[in-house]
Amino acid sequence: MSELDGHNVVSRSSRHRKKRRMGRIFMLLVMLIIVGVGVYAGVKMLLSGDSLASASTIREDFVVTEVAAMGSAAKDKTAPTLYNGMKRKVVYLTFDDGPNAHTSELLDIMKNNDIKGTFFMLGENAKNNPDMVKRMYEEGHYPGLHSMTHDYSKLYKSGGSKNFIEEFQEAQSIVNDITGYKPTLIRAPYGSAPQIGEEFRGDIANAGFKMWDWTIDSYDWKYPGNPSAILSQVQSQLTEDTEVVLMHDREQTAQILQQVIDYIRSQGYEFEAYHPDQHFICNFRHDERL
Amino acid sequence: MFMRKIISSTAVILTMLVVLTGCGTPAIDLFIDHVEKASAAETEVPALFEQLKQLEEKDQAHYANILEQGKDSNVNVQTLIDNSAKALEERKQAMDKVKQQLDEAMKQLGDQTSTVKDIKDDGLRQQAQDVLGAYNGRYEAFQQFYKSYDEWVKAEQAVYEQLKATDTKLKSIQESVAARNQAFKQAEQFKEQFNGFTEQFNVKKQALYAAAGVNQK
Repeated sequence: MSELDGHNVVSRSSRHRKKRRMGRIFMLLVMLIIVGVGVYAGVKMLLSGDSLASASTIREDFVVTEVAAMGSAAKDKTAPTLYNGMKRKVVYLTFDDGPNAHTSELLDIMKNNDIKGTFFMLGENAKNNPDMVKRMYEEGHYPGLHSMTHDYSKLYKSGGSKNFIEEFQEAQSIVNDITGYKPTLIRAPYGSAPQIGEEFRGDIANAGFKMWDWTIDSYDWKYPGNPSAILSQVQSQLTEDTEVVLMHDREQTAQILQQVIDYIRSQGYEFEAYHPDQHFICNFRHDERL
Repeated sequence: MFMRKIISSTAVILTMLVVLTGCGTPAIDLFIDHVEKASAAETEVPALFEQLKQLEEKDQAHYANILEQGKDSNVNVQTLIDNSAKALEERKQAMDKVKQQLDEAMKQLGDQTSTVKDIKDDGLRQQAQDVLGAYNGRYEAFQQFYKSYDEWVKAEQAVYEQLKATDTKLKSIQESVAARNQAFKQAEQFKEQFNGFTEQFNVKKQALYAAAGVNQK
């Protein structure tokens, strides 16, 4: 080997060592970068969200489906009073403005005749006579509502239905507290027409009430001391297969009630109390919402 | 040789960068995927609900017709009554199909409890929880509605049986109608609950997607 060759061998070996050193430094750098990126990714995930990728970049053509609700066309059904050649004649005896001193006698007469009726009560009277309300309900009569005050101006001249509905809700609450039953049938003081218009009736329906007027007015309130006039009124108006008779918790009514019952029965009628599952329309405007 | 090492090392770095940045599907995306699969599984439900509504409408009309035409004799309305009874069967079948769809949709949703827990963002996690709650509430409400609808249809059937009988009594018809009305009211209550949860689910889902930055088609 010449001096030159030996020098060349030495040079090639040192270049080799240099290259290996460079390679090791480079690999070290690569590992540092990898570790650095990994740490960066992990910290970012922990601090800011699920991943470095955002949902919006994944879902650019996303189709969203709404799930469906169900409508309904069904309503309450009314039982027939005339079917298959049979006729059923029914009278609903109703008593307004109680309970008071005369209610007990009315209930006794109804019980003796095995008859159930519908009592449209004033909330204040109900509050003051809870035992009467309880008896009424327990004996199978319907505990209807007739407002708190029976005050025409307050109920109908206040510019809307608010007072009316609030009074009936209060009366409803009183009856519910006494009986555990929440009645929904109301009778408007003085009747629903003409004081209650369409929007007003809608408000009543939206408040969850049903409303009855009547088909026979006994005018019993006009006849203190003349109970037989009450019977005449009923006799002259009893014509339809289904009748709703308006009466009041009055002395003269209690005096004539037995005769009224006897007459109605003699004409082939049965007696029933209001039942919410057998509701039928009985308001002056024939509003089906009520 | 040295260049080859440089190139291969660079390739390794780039690969690892890609892997690290795309690591795993985010929990929120998994959740959204399952929610949409469940929603999309209810494909026939809107049409079935419409069918039920139309059948209920027809039933009301048929009932009125039967009472009108059957005043003198119910012999006149035997076919009408039979047709009404058949329509009741159709209602039952339609409701059964709705149940099948909702059951399948629930399977598509699967158990998302742990997925929701894995959502790191507190706001998104709460919203996802609300969406899940609404869907589960809707499903449970439907189960009640389904049972009560079945009871209602049976009560309707009982009314038609009373109307059909030769020795029928008006009092018996009245009692069966009262029972039907009670069953109907019960079903309506559960239906309202179901509809309430449906609206909740749809609204909360949209809110979640907006918050998660989902661009909808």
